[in-house]
Amino acid sequence: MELYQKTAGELSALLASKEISAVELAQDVLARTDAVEARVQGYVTVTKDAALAQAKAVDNQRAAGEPLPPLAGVPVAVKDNICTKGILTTCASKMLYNFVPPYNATVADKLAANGLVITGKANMDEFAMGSSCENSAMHPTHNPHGLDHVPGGSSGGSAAVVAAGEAPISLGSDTGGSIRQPASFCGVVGLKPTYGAVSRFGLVAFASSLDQIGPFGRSVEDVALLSDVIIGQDKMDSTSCAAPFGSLHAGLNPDVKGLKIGLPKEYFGAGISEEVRAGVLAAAETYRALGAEVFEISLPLVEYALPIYYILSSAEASSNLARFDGVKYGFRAQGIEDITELYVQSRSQGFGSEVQRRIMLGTYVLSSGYYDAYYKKARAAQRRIKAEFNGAFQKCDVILTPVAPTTAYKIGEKSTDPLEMYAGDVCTVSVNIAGLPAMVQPCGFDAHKMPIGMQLIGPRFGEQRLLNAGLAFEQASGLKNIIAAL
Amino acid sequence: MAISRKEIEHIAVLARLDSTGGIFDRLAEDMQGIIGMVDKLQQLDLGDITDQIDTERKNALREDVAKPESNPEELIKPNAPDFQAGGVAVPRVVE
Amino acid sequence: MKYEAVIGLEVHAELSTESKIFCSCSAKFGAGINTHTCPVCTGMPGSLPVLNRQVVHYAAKMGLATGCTVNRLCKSDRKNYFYPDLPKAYQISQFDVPICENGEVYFYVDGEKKCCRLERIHFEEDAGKLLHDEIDGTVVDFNRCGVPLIEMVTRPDLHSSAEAKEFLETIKTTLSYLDICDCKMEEGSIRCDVNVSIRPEGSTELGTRVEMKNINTFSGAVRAIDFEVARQIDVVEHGGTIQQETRRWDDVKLKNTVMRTKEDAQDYRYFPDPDLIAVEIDDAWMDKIRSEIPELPVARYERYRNEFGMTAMEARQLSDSFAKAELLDAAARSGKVKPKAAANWILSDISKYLNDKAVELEDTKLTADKLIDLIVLIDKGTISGAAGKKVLPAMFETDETVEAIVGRMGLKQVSDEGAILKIVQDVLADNQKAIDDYKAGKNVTGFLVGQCMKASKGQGNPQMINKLLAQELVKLG
Repeated sequence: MELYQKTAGELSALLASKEISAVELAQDVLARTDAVEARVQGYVTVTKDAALAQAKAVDNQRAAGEPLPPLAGVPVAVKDNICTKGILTTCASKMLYNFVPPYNATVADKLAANGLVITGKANMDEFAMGSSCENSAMHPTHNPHGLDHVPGGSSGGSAAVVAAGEAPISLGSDTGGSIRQPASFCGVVGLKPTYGAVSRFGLVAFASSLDQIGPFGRSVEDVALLSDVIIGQDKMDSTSCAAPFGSLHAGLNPDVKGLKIGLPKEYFGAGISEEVRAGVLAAAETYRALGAEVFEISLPLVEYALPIYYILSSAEASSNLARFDGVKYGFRAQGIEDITELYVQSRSQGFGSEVQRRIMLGTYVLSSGYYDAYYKKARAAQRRIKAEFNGAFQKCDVILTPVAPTTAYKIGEKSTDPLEMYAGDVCTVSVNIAGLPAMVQPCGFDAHKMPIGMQLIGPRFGEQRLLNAGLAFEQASGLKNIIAAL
Repeated sequence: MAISRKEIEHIAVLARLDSTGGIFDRLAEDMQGIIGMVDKLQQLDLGDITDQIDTERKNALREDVAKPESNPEELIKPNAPDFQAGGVAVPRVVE
Repeated sequence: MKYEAVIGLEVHAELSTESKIFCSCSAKFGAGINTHTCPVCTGMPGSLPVLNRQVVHYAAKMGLATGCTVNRLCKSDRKNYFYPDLPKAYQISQFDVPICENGEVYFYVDGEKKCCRLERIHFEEDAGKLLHDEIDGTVVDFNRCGVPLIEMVTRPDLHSSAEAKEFLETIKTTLSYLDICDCKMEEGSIRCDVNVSIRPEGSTELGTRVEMKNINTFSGAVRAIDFEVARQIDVVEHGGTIQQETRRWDDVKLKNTVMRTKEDAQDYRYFPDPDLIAVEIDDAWMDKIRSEIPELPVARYERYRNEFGMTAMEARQLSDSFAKAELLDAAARSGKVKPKAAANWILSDISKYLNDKAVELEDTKLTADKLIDLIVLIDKGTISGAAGKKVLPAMFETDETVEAIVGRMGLKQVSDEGAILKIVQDVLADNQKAIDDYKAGKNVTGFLVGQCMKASKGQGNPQMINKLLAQELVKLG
């Protein structure tokens, strides 16, 4: 078995026992990247030299006998909307084609402090708006399990490089499903943490009240390990808060006897493909066999989740993306003598059409005369959704649902109709609206050998419960560390 | 709520997006459908639930301590499309 | 027809915090271009604001000082618009739930007490500065971005430029009493927008209002209001109607011009800032803020008039300066000196010294105890009033006691009766001509007192010299 095929947990042990060096590991992962990246195109930037230098530094520290954190020397890919000091951070947009942040995101600082080796910046839908990675201004990313398929989005690059063995773990961000849906499409594990658990400082904002950074890995253990690195309150992010738990990795326990698992009937209805429904229901049966109590619940407000999500996220985006005006950084339209024209041309030329659609919608729902009917009402409805989940968690410990209506579709198949694309977010957006944690992991394959994912949703700060339930299924199903053949 | 072409153009002005270019026609058309989708929210009866200040968490405040001066040549200049006289430069703004 | 002006003000005051409202860059004025900047206040991608506790503290303090209700729970909102001095393309401000609401500010105009209600006070960030003289185009200095402001919005309760000026002066004095703003007008620490409408005298309806921007001084506000009221009357008298619009005041050309009409009113798309969470001021915090508020200028003014019997001008001059008022009150509280005596020193010689040297009282070494000692020494006759004036500069400039200064300068008055008598007798013995003149019925007292003072090297107690001289002359018959 090559090093790139191993999980972060396995690599951590090999590094700690000095059976391998971080440089050897980085070289192997970079070699794999060299071999497959032309087909996958999961990265915007591969930081080969910096990665080798970081790996060397970790090896030196280890040789000097310094105590090192568990993931020291393990390679990690970082989504290209997370600021990395001195490393191009483009958000896969022409608008930031040349932007090199003079600061690190808090999570990037944490990666560095834990000795992780950044392999590169992962491709994404522009400014995290999209579900297929086709909205990247750089290039589309291909699903390693079927290169003519999308990897999902917006964190499609982060999911694809992990599935392709170009990095054992990665960071993505999730505003409406942007970690979970690509995890599902690429057959990897992805966790969207509780809102506030991970600092957003340095994450280029899409929708501040919904955005959350989270980990990808090829095993539940790896996701727990990387979660331990990034979770924590940050005084630079007013919305971050202290998680009421210690190491999630130390707390892993695959016992699900007596665990109450709710299956919300609305998530299994029309619009969900037969293969996806069957895959997730089979997982439910596995849980039953493991001693969990599985029963049907109802979350009727999911019907309104898409409008609420698209109103809130677009409203915030219209304001968050206003700073991209051609004045201070990034793209500026040339040959313009008037400041307003400079704004208009820089923004119209710098933003892709999906970003412009969201900005238009967001501006509309906040504008005079429409605010109450859209934005204000959506905020009020958000309270209802939170209350509905709170009620559900009175009855069950975790909620099990599909991640997306279908498995990964073909590149170009849905990219012409925004509404069809938005409909694919139906199973994931409620979690962001309610600020809850949710984890996705593979639960099978469809007839075309494309992965099927399942989603476990927990109450606020229920991360340990999700990881434990996920670990139980992973062990029972053997669906772990799936690397695309390529 | 149906939205007129004139309204969409007004929204584009607010958002500083070009409403004359070729892709705007397509954008305006998409907007109709998207607004139709979000209009589903109007069917939801919220009773007496209203928007209010979120109080789950309060008072993330910092102490009033200032840090030393910074160097704009390092912080601003490297990413600025046009940097002159110590700051970003723009076409002349008439106040 | 007679018209009444109806005026409302929006006053912005920069708070004198160390750091900016949402980042730890210095909030001080006058640094090199863009040296007080960081990713947060220059709106770099991914940066996030964190609210400065002191801003909340200061804003609530101003609210309490102006009789506002302080909202125990408030939030921050975004005001969205594009301008090169606004790097995020939104200003973080407060919209529907400001930190303070419904206040009342009292002030005197020509001896008459007036009240102007405050609708609200909210905190917000300042914008940057556009520089037009550096290059062909415009250069943006972000130093001022994120400097904390409070905006105070009045009800339309003011009816003349004189009232507006007195209101503004009271706001300024109050800010300075609370020590939350350095009130340096030339640095733009206090700025205001003015809303003006007119109505027929006796009417209670509000006319169409015109907003005026770009007013940088209080005297500028007076000129701008006078111009606009006259302009509106002229429009109405000529059969026109007032348009709701924003006009820009030009304090050089002394006129205003249209900036924006109602039609191109901005749509700021306010919404709660999702990067910030609610602010709550609990009882303990509130008590702390309340405990820091001193007796305010108008209350002191009234007390000086009523209890100390001062003239309106004296009371105003003393209460306008927190440091002077504190000095006076400390002296008066001691019970050792008459308030009026302390007030006289402060209004005359102390103020003159401060003016001449262009220093602030609080930056000198003068203390209330020193002032009390000085007055007591004069009252006791230890030194003369004239000597007191000579002592004063050293009281500002050194840590010496007043006694020590008096001793060092040899200003102690001779009040020993025997010693003075000796001087008087010696002077009389040396001035036979004066005695002859005296006997001939001429008034020679002034001359002889002068000679006695000279003989005592200026240290003789003048009252005693007068008394003993009169006594000796009588003896001469």
